[in-house]
Amino acid sequence: MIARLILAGLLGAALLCAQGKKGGGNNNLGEMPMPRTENRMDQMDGILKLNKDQRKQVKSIMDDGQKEAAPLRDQIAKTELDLGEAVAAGKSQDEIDKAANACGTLQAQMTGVEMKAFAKIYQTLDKDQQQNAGRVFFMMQGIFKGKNWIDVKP
Amino acid sequence: MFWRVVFTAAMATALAFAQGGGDMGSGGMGGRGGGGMNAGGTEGGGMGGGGMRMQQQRQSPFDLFAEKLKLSKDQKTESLTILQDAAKEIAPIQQQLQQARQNLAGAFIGGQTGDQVDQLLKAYAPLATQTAAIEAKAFAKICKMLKPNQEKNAAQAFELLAETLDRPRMGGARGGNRSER
Repeated sequence: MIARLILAGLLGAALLCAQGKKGGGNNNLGEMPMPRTENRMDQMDGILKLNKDQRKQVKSIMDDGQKEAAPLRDQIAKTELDLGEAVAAGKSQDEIDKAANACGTLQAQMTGVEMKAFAKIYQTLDKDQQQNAGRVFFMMQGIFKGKNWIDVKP
Repeated sequence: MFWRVVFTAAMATALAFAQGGGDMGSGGMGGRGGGGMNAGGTEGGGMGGGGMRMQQQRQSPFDLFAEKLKLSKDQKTESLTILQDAAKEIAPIQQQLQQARQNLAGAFIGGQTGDQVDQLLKAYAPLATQTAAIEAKAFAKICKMLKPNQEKNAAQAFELLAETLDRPRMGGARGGNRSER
């Protein structure tokens, strides 16, 4: 009887071990854990180690930037399509140059919005955090081109 | 302090450009964090874990571009060559654009407004225009090799080509978040 109890105990322990720490039993070799996708807020937080107030400020700055960028975003999409159409339709070089020029002007304006938002974020940081701001600087390029800056999309 | 950030950023840019160059040489375009892009593959490096290799199934802008135009294998190879040439042409302009972005950021941080900022934006625009013109030239070459049934979606594919070429090697991108249209 004692031997049977010990055997049952061992089997139970083995089963628990096989289920792993989460105890869900889903984390086996057949089902690989999905990598967690961080959104851009998390990425910035990870780089800058923001406190609660800074996190709020950064989110607010970026949300405002997104609003400011919205009309530009639509215009850039349109001018890129115009340029694509002009090239695909074999339009004159003059027309292609005009479309490229429109793209460049709008890109410059968008860059202004991006850099203004970066500068505001930079100003909310303390000196230690500012040393890591270079990585956020690179994150800013094209960050408002999507519908929501926070989403990381493939 | 800001200049230290700028210096770090510049170093990162240099590293990123160096990485980009390596990827190009191996038949790929762009590449972030060692991922790289190839004609038929996916972007993003593999992730080792317990002897298993987990691949992030994320299509690169070039994959999306090729898919949009339904490029054949030969067309993909030819397109890659065209884009590699264009990327070489764009690289020095991208460096100037990065410098212009740093100048703008510095101006905003220094509290400059109005004319001073306008001047910096005016300096940025022609560089961005040059980039767009090089992209257009590369796109024109690719359009020339399309078959009639592929030409239908060509214009919409331009945005993806632009992303392929001027997506910065780190962080976001001109098309970091492709516009949902």
